[in-house]
Amino acid sequence: MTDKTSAALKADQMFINFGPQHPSTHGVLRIALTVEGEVVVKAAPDVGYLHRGMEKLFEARTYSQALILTDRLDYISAMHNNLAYCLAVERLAGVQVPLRAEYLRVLTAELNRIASHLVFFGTFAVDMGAFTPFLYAFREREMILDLFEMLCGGRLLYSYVRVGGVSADLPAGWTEKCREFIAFFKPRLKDYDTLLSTNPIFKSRTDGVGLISAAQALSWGLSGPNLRASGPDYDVRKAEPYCVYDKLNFKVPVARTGSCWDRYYCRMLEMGQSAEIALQCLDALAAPELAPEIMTKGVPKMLKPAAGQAYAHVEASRGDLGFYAVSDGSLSPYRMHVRGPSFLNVAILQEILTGCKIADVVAILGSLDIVLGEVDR
Amino acid sequence: MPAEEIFLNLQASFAGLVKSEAQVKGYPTWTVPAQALRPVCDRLRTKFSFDYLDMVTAVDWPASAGAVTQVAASAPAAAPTAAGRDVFELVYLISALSSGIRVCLRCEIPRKEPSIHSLYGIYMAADWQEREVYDLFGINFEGHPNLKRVLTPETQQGHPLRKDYVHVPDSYD
Amino acid sequence: MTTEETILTKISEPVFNHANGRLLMPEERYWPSRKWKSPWSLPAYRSGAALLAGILSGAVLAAWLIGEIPLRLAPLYSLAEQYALSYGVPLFLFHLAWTVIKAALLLAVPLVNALFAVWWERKVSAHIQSRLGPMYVGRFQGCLQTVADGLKLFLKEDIVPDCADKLVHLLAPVVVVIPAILVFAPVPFGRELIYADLDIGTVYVFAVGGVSVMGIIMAGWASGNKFSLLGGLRSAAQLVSYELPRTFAVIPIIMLAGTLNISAIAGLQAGYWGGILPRWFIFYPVVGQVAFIVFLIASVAETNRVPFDIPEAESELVAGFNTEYSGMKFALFFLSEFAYVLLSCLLMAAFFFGGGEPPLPFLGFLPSWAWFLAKTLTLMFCFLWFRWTFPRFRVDRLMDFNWKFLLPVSLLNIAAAGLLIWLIS
Repeated sequence: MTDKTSAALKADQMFINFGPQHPSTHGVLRIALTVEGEVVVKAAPDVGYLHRGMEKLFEARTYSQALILTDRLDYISAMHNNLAYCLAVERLAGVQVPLRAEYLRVLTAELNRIASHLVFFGTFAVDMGAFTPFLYAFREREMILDLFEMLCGGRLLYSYVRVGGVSADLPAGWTEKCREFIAFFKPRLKDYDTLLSTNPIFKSRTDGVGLISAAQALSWGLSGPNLRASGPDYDVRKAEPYCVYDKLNFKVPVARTGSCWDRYYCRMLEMGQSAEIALQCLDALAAPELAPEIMTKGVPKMLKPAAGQAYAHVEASRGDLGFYAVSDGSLSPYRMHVRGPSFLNVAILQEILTGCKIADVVAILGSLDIVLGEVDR
Repeated sequence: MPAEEIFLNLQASFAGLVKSEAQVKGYPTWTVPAQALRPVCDRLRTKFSFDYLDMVTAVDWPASAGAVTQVAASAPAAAPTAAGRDVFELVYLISALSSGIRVCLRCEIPRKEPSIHSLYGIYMAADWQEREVYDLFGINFEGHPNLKRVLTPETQQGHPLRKDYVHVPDSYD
Repeated sequence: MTTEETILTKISEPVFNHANGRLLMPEERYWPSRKWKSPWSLPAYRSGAALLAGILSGAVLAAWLIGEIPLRLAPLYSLAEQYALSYGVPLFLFHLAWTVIKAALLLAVPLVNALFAVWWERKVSAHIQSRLGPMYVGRFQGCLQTVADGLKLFLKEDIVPDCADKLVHLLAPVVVVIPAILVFAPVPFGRELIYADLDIGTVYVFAVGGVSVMGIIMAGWASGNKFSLLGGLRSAAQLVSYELPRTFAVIPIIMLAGTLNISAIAGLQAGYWGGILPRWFIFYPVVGQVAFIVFLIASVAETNRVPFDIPEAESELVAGFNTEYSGMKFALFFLSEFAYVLLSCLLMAAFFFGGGEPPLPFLGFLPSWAWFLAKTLTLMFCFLWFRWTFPRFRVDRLMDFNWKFLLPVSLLNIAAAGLLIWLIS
């Protein structure tokens, strides 16, 4: 090959707008891809298409009104957003939460984690070209949504966790339904493994693809299953136990290589652990010393925390979700910052996408499991 | 090594590093002079294995506050904040995952032509978080290679999270 | 009254206190956990099974009553010939008319096949995915859904992008669909049920079928869309590569049969070893099975279906070369895809499963076309089954799989076939 032709070949780069309208960007993410044939030379993720100015909106609402905004951050797992927000406000205002409400928070958060990971499982399979797992995942997720509907009336945006507790106790018959779901759900995890996790085509698409080293993952601030797939064993539920996680017995799955398959399988294992946690919570809630009571005792409707700052974070489905709240002693937050895990997870794309194929872009993006509502806020 | 020892070690080499009077509840909060921020983070990272940057954000404390701070003035000044000092308060939450220590660094910079050293390179997580702070507060991060708006459109006028931000209606309003 | 107090008075209902929650969920809402325990206790399950058994036995009865189609047609043909001669019509004109009728019937094959296959695919996929699929159009299980969809596509606006190469954009679906119809000419649908009994039928099928690739590349190029272009290029690479193992997989069959005529190959597989095991090529030790598997895999790749659907890879390339096509042009691509699926199944039935020969001697009461159809539909079900089970290959793995695995295996298989022939003789 002469210098001239090789230069001509090198100039043969194509610019592709991957999104914002694309079947597998999971919302309105745009990745500006420069490709040589099928190989990505440069990738620049571009966010902000869903920016609603959440942090500004917090400042114009009272603490109880602002709760509904948190639902709309990571709309796939709204329960975690409610929880993180309420923990931050409770820490700011020094509010105590009844023990039963703590258990209910953990129970619903873990059910929501299962629902969220099921969405991940389904959409990731669709990204990989297998459509069937998607419908299996949504069949099971539907049951969780039914449970939540019974509990708080909402199927997607719950506002169930409130400052000082939760909005309602379990309705009659709910516990049995929840146990029925978990009994149905656990064997399904094996089905998913045989259908997708161990499929050789799927493994060849994901194993060893989109590698993120532990140092990279830490430096870029990844969290949740994305971080644990690379090696660091960091889970807020273990590192800084909130609610009643220190009383519960569960494991945190950790992988080593940080490939797409590791990230995928960490989530699959987490679902099983979440089901265990939910069962433990159900057992604890049945105990007589946790009899039903008013779920938010002594919390004024118009909360007026003293001036100060507080930070609270939870292990949400997508990682370490933090709320930084500043009060100036008035009825509404002076400043509320959301540390969205997806925002940090999506930033690493610019580094790891270089050099992979277009098909891998989809795999890597899918395996990071971002929700654009949380990225853009 | 507990946070207290790390603080004393750092204080020995960085004058002006003090414990904040306004603590973030539950975390040791230190006030860092704006010039010392990057060296402090570098030291924390290399020597004390603070390998994880949790959060970068800012709070606007204008001198002449609006209705919001009037309520604050009437409220008892329980914890002193930066209210009324005409500063941007930058908040960094940095943690050492191996030892589980999480510290909060805060530094104050003037509201006029706000600028501070970027943490890009020490923590890559600072990349987009600093862009976000730049986008919403208009704080310049020196040394950031790609300081562009990240959330709002490029046609955005002003920086929305400043307390004195006035929305200019555009063609979409 | 301050703002604070106004807000306080407005909130009359206590927000936090509804300790007596209600069971909002109606009891009859579908939860699989309840019904999966014993599906046979459900009346719908039992009636569905009864219905399927009824349809199957009805079809068997109908096939038995109809019998061999060429035998039924032969008196009709001679009767018509007599009439034509008695009215003084020249014989060559009569033969021409007969050929035209046959051609029209052949033309209907891909159309009818698409109508049926799309509906069947939707039903199969639905039941694989624990849902129902089309249920309304045509009363019975949505059986007229494809007709409705076809009408819809027919009435759709034909959108041509501004930056498209208009002529090529128009020609591409035509270039794809014409070979897809022509290719059926030498393919048998039963014993002596064939349009043109070509001696080089096998070569003809592969040659004509290969022309469709041109149309796909044209579609990708002319759309003026980068995703389409990538899809077109991918399909060019894929289809041309998979042609090789697909053709090589058939060579052992040709060697064993000693002919290229498809209906002759199917006819040679009549009879039974030991009176029980049919003399189909798939039962030839090792060679038959390997050839079949290679041919099956390569056929799935040739028809652009999952797990080899990278040219249209929905999640990567939006819809690949289809992206900028709408209305009837899109329907033509669809038509040709299903025509090639049918072709592959017919070829496999003829090459490996004995064509119209019954699998067991006592089943000979059914006509050959019924066996041909049954085998083809069974193989077609496999295509649908793959599609709704597997994820998609990555483009470079796909090529690796072809050049580093399928091609060497198919070449080795040819050598093995030579060995087998030497052992037999």
